[in-house]
Amino acid sequence: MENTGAAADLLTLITRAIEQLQRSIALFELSDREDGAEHLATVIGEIDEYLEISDSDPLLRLASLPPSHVRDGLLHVRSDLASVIDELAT
Amino acid sequence: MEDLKKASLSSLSNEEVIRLLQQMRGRRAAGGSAPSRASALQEEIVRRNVGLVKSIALRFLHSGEPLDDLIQAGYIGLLNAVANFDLAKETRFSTYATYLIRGEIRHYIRDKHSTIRIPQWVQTMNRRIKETEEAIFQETGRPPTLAELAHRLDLTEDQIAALLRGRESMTYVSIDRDRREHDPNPSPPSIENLIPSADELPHDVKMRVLIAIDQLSEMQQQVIRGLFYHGKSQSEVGDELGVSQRQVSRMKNRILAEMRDNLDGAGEPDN
Repeated sequence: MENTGAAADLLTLITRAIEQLQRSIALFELSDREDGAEHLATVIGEIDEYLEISDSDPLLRLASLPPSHVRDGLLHVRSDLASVIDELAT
Repeated sequence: MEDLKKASLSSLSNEEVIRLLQQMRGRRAAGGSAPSRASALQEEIVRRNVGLVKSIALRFLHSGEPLDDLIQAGYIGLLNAVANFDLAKETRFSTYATYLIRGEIRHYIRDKHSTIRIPQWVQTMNRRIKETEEAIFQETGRPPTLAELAHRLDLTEDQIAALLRGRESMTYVSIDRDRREHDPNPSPPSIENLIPSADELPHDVKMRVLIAIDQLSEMQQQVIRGLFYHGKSQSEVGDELGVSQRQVSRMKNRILAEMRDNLDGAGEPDN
């Protein structure tokens, strides 16, 4: 089930992130903070990988989405997730 | 009507409901002036189960819909239960009614929330795909292939396929829309429909388990269905959900404990 390689487009990234977040929530419900945080970290990794290739994402062109706008939004999400992981670690 | 006079305003016991249902159906079958008495009996059964409808409607307050509307939807389920309860089955009326009331309230919420806001950028993408489809159709006189669309839009075939799948999924269709279009007030599922294999456990127990499963989250339901309905191993279920076998095992224990609590506790008001 684990995905390999960077998400080649924004929709793939969103789909994978939702899957990971669902797993993360299920684990938090089990009070399994460590494994839940691991899935959050996976989302951060996916975002980082996508950001490296986002300029060439054909979907952004098709959707007339400015890459800088998408980048800013993803960095915001990344920062929020990192904060959650930090809080869980303390 | 003697039974009605005797009954207090408190909720009816299962035996009382069954007796009233038997009288109601007997009078309907008798014809003449009896049907109006049957309606009075039906009203009484409904009135005595108002508490059940309200208690279930309260659990759906998070939907953001007004409580009164949720209760109204619940009444439809209750009326269906009154009309369709199988007296020959050893199931409590409240168990069957609970299932149908929940179903009607969910149907109501689904209908009210069926408008999904699609982001502008997704709409733009879909519009461009549609324009390209039409352009190719004009040129060739036939619908485009995935390869043609992919080439024209500079995407891979996989990406196009994913986008087309996404476009389809944005057309929200209630799973029972078709059923309700043909009959606005379709017959609710019978106890037999709901629990096809009625051998080992009493009907009532199976109905209650069904309701308890219905209250679980999507992921929890996947765990229970995978392990107990489809006979999958914990590792197989874990692979499907993207979690480890150990986590599935822990989820299973927690879910079963949760279900046990629901079944033992006030999962539904008892008649």
